[in-house]
Amino acid sequence: MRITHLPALSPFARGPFMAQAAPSPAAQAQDLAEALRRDGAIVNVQISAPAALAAQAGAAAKPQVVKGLVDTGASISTVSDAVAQAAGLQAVGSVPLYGVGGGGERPIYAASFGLQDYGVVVDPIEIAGVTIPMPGVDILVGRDILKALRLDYKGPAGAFTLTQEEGTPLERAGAAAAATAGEKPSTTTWIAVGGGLAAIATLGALFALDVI
Amino acid sequence: MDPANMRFPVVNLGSSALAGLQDDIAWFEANRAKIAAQYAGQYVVVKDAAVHGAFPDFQSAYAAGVAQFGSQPFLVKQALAQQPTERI
Repeated sequence: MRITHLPALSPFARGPFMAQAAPSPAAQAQDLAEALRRDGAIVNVQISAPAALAAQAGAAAKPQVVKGLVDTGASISTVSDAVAQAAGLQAVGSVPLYGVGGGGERPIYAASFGLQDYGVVVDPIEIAGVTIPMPGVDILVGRDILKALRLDYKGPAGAFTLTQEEGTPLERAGAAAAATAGEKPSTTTWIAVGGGLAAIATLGALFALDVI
Repeated sequence: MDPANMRFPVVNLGSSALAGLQDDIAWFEANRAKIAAQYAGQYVVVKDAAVHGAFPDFQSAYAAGVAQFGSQPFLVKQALAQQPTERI
């Protein structure tokens, strides 16, 4: 299964007096490339307490669906402290965690981690709690997840593709997973909100080609 | 260090999340060498200054910890002579 994501175009990408004019294909590609550069590769992530804990403790699951940034610079996936708390994650340790500018000892939580659009669920996973100073992003999808996925980053097209390949350690959620062949993924809801009809038609064509 | 140069500054706000684990973390670190020698590379469940099982992976160790202690705090650590660091 392969899904190509295209980032949302900023509604501020063009002036108000140009809003009625359909952008040229070249301009669309430039907008998409710039949007991907600016926002990065964003995916939907569902995070909750592991099923084992919910079953044993009788705790009600509090799954949180948040935006995650695919981050090849992160050796471990991370979650914001606020989302970890809201999801009721259980701390099971700590880890020395360093960024470019510094670091410290951070909690490790056990979590159920799902990339809904790929039918991928890892339960449980070790995920580090951090403060992510990026509005709208609460998860960094690190190389612990990416080690089982193929990432194709197409900068000039403003698109990226994640592919789950056979024989990886990640568990599939099953046949009911979203985004099967020929089915438009739910992620289209956040694609090209600032674009016109022509742009949407173009993006639809890209999806038809890239979702296999 | 200039915070503006930090890609993702790591802020130490995790003390509350670790409140119930600090004693076991300290015990594990004090006994890391011995535990690493005995359970080399396995994941151990630690609570109240004792190892409550060793397992081949995090998943099975966590499941065993939950089965024994439910939602009470318990520690899951890989038995390694040195603590690996992570980078973001």
